[in-house]
Amino acid sequence: MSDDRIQALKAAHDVLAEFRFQPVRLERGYANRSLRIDLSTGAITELPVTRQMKDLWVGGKGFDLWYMFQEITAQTRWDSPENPLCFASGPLGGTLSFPGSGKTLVTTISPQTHSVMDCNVGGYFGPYLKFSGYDALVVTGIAADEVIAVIDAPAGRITIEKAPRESVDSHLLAEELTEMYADGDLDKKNIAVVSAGRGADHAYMGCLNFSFYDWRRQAVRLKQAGRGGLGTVFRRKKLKALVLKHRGVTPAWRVEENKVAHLITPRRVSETMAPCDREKVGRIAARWRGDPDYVIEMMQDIQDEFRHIPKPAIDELTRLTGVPKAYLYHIATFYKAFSLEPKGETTIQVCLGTACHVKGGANLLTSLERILDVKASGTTADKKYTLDAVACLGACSIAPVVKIGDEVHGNVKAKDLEKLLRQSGKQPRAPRPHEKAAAPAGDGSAPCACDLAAIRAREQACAAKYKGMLMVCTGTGCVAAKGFDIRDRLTALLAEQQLDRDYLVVPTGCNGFCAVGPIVVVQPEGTFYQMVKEGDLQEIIDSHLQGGKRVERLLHTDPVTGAVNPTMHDIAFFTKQQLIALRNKGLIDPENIDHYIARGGYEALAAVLRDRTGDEVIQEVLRSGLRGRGGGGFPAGLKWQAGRRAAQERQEEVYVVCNADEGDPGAFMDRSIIETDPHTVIEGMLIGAYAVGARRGFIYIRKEYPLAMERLQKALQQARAHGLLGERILGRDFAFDIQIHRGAGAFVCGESSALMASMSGRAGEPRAKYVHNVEFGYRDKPTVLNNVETWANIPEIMAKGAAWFAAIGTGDVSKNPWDGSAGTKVFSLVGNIRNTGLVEVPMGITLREIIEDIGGGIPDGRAFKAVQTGGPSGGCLPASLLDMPVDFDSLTAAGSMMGSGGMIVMDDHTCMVDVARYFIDFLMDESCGKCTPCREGLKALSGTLNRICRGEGRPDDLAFLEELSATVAETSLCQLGGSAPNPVLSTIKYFRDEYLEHIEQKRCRAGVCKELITYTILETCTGCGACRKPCPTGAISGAIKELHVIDQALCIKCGICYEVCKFDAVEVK
Amino acid sequence: MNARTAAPARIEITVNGRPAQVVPNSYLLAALKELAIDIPTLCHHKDLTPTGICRLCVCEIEVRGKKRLVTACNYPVREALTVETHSPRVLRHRKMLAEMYLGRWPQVPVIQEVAAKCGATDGSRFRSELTDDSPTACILCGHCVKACEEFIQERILDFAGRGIKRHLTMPYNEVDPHCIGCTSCAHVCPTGAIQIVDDLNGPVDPLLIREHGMKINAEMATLDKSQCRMREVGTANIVDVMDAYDLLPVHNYKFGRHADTHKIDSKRLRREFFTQGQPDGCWNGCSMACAKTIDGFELRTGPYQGQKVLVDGPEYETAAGAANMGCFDAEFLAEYNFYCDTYGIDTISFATTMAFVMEAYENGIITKEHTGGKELRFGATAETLAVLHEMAAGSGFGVDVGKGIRWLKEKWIREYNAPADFLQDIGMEVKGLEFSEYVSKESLAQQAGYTMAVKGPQHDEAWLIFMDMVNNQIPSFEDKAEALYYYPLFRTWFGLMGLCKLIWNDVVPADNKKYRPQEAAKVPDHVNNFQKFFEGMTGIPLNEKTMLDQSARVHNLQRIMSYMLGKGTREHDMPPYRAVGPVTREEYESRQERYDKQLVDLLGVDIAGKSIEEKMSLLREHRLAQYNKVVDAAYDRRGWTSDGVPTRERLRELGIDLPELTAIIQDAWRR
Repeated sequence: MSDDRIQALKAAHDVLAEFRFQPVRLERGYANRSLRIDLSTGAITELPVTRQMKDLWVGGKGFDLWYMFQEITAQTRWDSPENPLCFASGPLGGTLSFPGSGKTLVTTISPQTHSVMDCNVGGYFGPYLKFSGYDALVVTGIAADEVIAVIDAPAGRITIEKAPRESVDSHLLAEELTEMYADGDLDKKNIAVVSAGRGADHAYMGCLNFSFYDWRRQAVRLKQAGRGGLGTVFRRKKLKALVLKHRGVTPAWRVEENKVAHLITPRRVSETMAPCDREKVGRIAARWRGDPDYVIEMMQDIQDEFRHIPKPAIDELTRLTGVPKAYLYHIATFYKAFSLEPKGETTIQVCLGTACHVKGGANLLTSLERILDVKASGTTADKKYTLDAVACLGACSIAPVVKIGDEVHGNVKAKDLEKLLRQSGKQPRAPRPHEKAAAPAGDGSAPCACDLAAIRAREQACAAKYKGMLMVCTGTGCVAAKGFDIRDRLTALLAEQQLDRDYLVVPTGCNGFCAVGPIVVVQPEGTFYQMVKEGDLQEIIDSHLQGGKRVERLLHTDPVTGAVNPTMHDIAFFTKQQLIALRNKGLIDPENIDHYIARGGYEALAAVLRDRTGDEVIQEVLRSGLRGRGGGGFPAGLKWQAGRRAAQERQEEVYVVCNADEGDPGAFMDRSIIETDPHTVIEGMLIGAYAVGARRGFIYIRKEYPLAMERLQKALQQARAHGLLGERILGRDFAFDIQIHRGAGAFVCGESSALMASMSGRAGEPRAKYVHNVEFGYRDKPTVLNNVETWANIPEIMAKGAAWFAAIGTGDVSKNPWDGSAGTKVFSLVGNIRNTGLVEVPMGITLREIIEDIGGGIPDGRAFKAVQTGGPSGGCLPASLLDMPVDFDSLTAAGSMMGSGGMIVMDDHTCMVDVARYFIDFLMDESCGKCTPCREGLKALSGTLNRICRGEGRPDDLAFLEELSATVAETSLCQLGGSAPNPVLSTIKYFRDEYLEHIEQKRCRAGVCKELITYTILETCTGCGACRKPCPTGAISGAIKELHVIDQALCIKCGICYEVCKFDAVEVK
Repeated sequence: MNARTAAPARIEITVNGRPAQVVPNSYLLAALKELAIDIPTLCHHKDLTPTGICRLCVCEIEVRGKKRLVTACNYPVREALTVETHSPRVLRHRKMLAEMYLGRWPQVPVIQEVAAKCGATDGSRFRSELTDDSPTACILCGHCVKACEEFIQERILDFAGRGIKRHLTMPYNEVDPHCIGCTSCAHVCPTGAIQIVDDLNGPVDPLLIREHGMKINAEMATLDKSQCRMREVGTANIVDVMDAYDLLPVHNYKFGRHADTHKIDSKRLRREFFTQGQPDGCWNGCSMACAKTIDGFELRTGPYQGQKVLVDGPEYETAAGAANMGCFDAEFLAEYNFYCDTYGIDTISFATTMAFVMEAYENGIITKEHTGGKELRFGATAETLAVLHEMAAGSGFGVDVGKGIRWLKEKWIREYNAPADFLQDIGMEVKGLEFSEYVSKESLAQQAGYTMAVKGPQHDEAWLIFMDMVNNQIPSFEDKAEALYYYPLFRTWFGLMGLCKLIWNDVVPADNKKYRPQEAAKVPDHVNNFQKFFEGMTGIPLNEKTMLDQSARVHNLQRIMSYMLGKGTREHDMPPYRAVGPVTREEYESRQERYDKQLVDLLGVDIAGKSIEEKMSLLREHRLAQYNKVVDAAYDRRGWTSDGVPTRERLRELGIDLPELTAIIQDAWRR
């Protein structure tokens, strides 16, 4: 309702009578006085409540009748002026701690029975009347004009006012008066209105409406005192309404201050918000249709818009979505993506993923803290920068990684940071991928969108017109190394030289060999150019494309033999791999669905829809032995079967969900699959949906993966346009569509029940899974959840058959999928290894083959120390286990796990105690805090490990770590806690002597634990000064060409001197 | 439990080597409790959904040869298993968990208690900068958060932060102004970390009130979903029940059920209208939250046609009124509900009057000529709404209808020469007030309850159908008289206090059946709650007698005032015959088997060869005689004369023989 209209209504009011009153404290349920309003005379008086009244008539209807008895005679008729309307609560009325205490009792002489009528009614009038200090209200007399009576308790004022212009019908009148007398929205719940309606003007069966404000619906609600014509009497008195304004009943609630609350409660928040900002919040909510399930998405948009979650935005969001404020606050303080206080203009994210950690990411953070003079999570005083430590940016192959604004920087060194900061924002923003570079025009006769064969034929014909294709890697790793620039430059050069009719530039997803990006592969023969710079492109054109001669210096060279490997088929990194999930890697433009179709994409779906029933599909998946690639290794077929059965038995909708919340630090398989070949995931989900009978699917993807998100969105749009999502897919009686949920930065959301809580717009807390998600999952409906890689395998399994897949890998899964590990597994191979990147290998391959043959071994002449698999909750395996086959069961038996497929190689400069501490700190930070062992146990594990790393270890620490680890592992509610102690237990198991060295000798042999090491400059120092300049504390002194010295008192052990010294003259001990 | 599903088979389990039996899907902890096995817990509360977060109740189970640890509180037993509750492994973990608590909150009594049980004495290994030495520290058990959601459905409270930073708060560490102060959170808090008292009324003992109020909140959270579903559908749940028991008024109370009831029953309303799943209390702190609404309903008729509005309801009486008018149409129901409310028209009187009008129309007593051209047959939805709009506009036939049945009867007899006897029989009003929406024909006690109600035939003074007819708990006249004494007074009591009656018996304790049926109907545990509520407020203890006497004084006051206004005697307590028995052949035939049987069994009549009319006449004679006998007995029990006037003795006994009251009725005593 407009303010103008309210003002106009109010302006027409004329106060006919006024009465001032003092509030009273209620005693034992009574105000001990009542109120009488005579509409004929305008007299407003207080009536006594006597001891006798309480003893005999108690209250409520008893008081009403007694007061009435004083007012009427045997001759009083319903329409006599003296016929009173009496209103009362009762001594127990209004009690909040006892349900059902809100009734108002009303009596009068009825126009229907001509006798005493009584009625009870809900709404807030009775309790507010009492809390205003009156046990009952007697309204008598007949007004000359239409009036309202207003009891304004906060003002201590009662008035009778002429109210000629308000509506008569209750739903309008109650709203008008509520708006008119409330001081803002929050006060509306303190207004209670009694009214009748125009029907009561004519009928004897008129009723009264008692209002209350429903703040969730933002609407005035009405409860009726229905019987016997009370409304008729009300209107006969020319009463339009009774209005009661109360000061509210919000209690003095207090919770014992928790010691951590102050860590979160923001110090500076704005209580107000400009109307235009409020509108922005409204638009954001509207973008997600106000759907409470998407409230986390809305909050991400709000965070992006305002660089924090403003306090009024939470109120606004509650109003718009109905999601309780407390839940929104929980979300805002739970997910890392949100901040309650404004962030700086540019956010600098320092990746502390495992790969970055072992490559010195923590040093980058301390350096940045020093440079910017803020602590992690802080914002610089000039509001320019916010410095955040993040769990993993998924660019592990180019570790250590720092992201400044939107730009990812790989292989960062501490000494480069200031330069990077200076450059940031000065360069134009890296261009986003777009279609114009690739999409071949075709011959103009576009085939039917869903005619796969026609599309394939057209694509192949189109490709045949070119002499060659230049596949430019635009995966995250290569993009960080200017992959987009290479693509754009190459496209431009070809066009300039009119070679674009013969050669096509195709931006591909991650090639996998991230260590040597940016990568350009010339197809069809597969010439592999690595570390390509913009300046190299013309030479490739001139020499290779025009001259037919490869550019030798850009080819890959075997680091051991020195042999030149001209094509991908010559490089060991590729030859030992077997590609299923990554089969299209580097061969297609991920943003072009026709490329996928050209390579047989969606054929498996078409065949399934044509030839098989859902049950047959499930049987095929079961026989393939495919086990979930997300970490648990649960057979996918069994899960599908259970989901289909649960849906059929309960006649419920079933959902399929893709878990793309790849939170494991050191892992980026899922991101790469989506960036490389999003349609294989979509096709997999389509087949799964068909098999289990789902109509709706969801992909839950990390917000930290913008490129993957963008490609996924494009892929979904294209699939819809091709009739591959939506109604009647491929012309069959099958409908399915997929929606995306963005995760907001919580590792625990990778856990299935937490993921579903998050999808429902809640804090991502797991629940006990004694009842499985596949039976009661998202929205309590059967839900089939698989991770990206699992879905990506499905189309190929359906295309080539279960037997083909089962033959790859270990064990015989033909009878029971638990009997082995079939198929391949994608690993992100990172850390101290030469060929970092993404690899897909058959199950059962040994660690040694992966690390030495594919990975090319440990660089810089260092020695292998351990490989960490399975993400943060995995374990560290020593050299003695290098010949172990890599499959689900072997890894578990060795105290590690498959996890989603992170594989971090560590050399002898890695401290295993520090690694355990690192993982436990990570997990402590990511624990949702719901269950005790995970919350308190990880805190204690972290405390103990940090103590050991500081050199304060005690003899009984190892026993405590082991004992505590067992309790955390065995009693935690979900698998985050359940597997959290693995890094501790596996490092104690395989590297016990390192722990003992830390505890007993206070020594860190790897030179990592700062409190235990010193940097010294050896005699071999040439006095070049390279270390003196970058030293942040000025701890290094020494004249040029003379031996330098480190002042140990000043040294903060940042390691820059060690990093920059070209003469190995800095020693860490 | 649905009668069609077989009684649940028990599952055989082995607990600590001893065999035991468990109801399928019951939680393991509950089963262990029944076996008197004590396991320490910190986050378990008997009335709240278990979430298994303290982990102290871990037990070692073996299912199909696989051993694992589960938390007993939320592990549903679904198949045979072996349980070890105190194995060395379990004890080791429990002790470690208790140490964690002890390290973080060493001075909290419940923690010290549990730690002692687990053999943990020293939490120093878990001391950190976060250790909180307050004895009333919050230990993150989550009871309050669940109580806020499950007891009251408010969701004002939640945790914030994650991991070790998890803590309980309202947003920004400030009191949310929408907190209603129900105190549920403080009630369930095991440490006293939450401080809140409901003292708005200045009670003598707020904690006594809270204690008994929370018992009901707990029942609402745990039992309502399997009892009346008040939270889900409000009073509309009764539509389905009444139809099932042949008690739903259909076609002006002629029948008690209809094939189309499903079109307006609670299942239909739930599916299409009550989809919000949010608290709907009409006053703060009400856990029953039965005030359902239809949101965004688009009106099809009247001055607000085309607008989307919020419809408060429909409640039972409104929905049943639609059935009474033969309008089995959910859209109509919503529309008539909305317009009655906003026009300020009583839905009950409207529906009952319209049903009467429709029957009169179908019998040719009134015609289109009288109705302004509207064909007002049963089920005439559009015409009914037209009447309603006329009533609001103050023109046309609707204005007459708005005057109610008694007024219409008088007018039609006077002006249209209508058959007076028939109209008296089918005009469902007593004292000028239309009946509310229950068929009372087959329940003598309900008939008397309706007609003896001082204000008129309205269920809030007496509702005895189920006890009398369905459950046959009050077979004798004395039983009925006792019920007609107790229940009207007990129901009146709520009106003295400012309370809602629904809390009393629309959800009952799980073990209410421990009382014999007649007592169980009173829901003795709830009566006790209310007595304690009053005592906690005023300091005055109540028992059944003093409680009923409170009501009796007011009840008699109202009767005397009615007498003063020329009512309040026996002649005004007489029902229309439709409320007592079948008026028409059609009605008799609809339940012929039952009526024939009654004539044979109760009256010893040889019905062979008797016409329906003869049988109806015999039944009528019998039923009216029965009715008068019940009234005699009930008056007597109430301490009223045979004319229904309170006796001097009764007034004296109640301490209300005040001169101003006795002056009014003393002439009746002389008669």
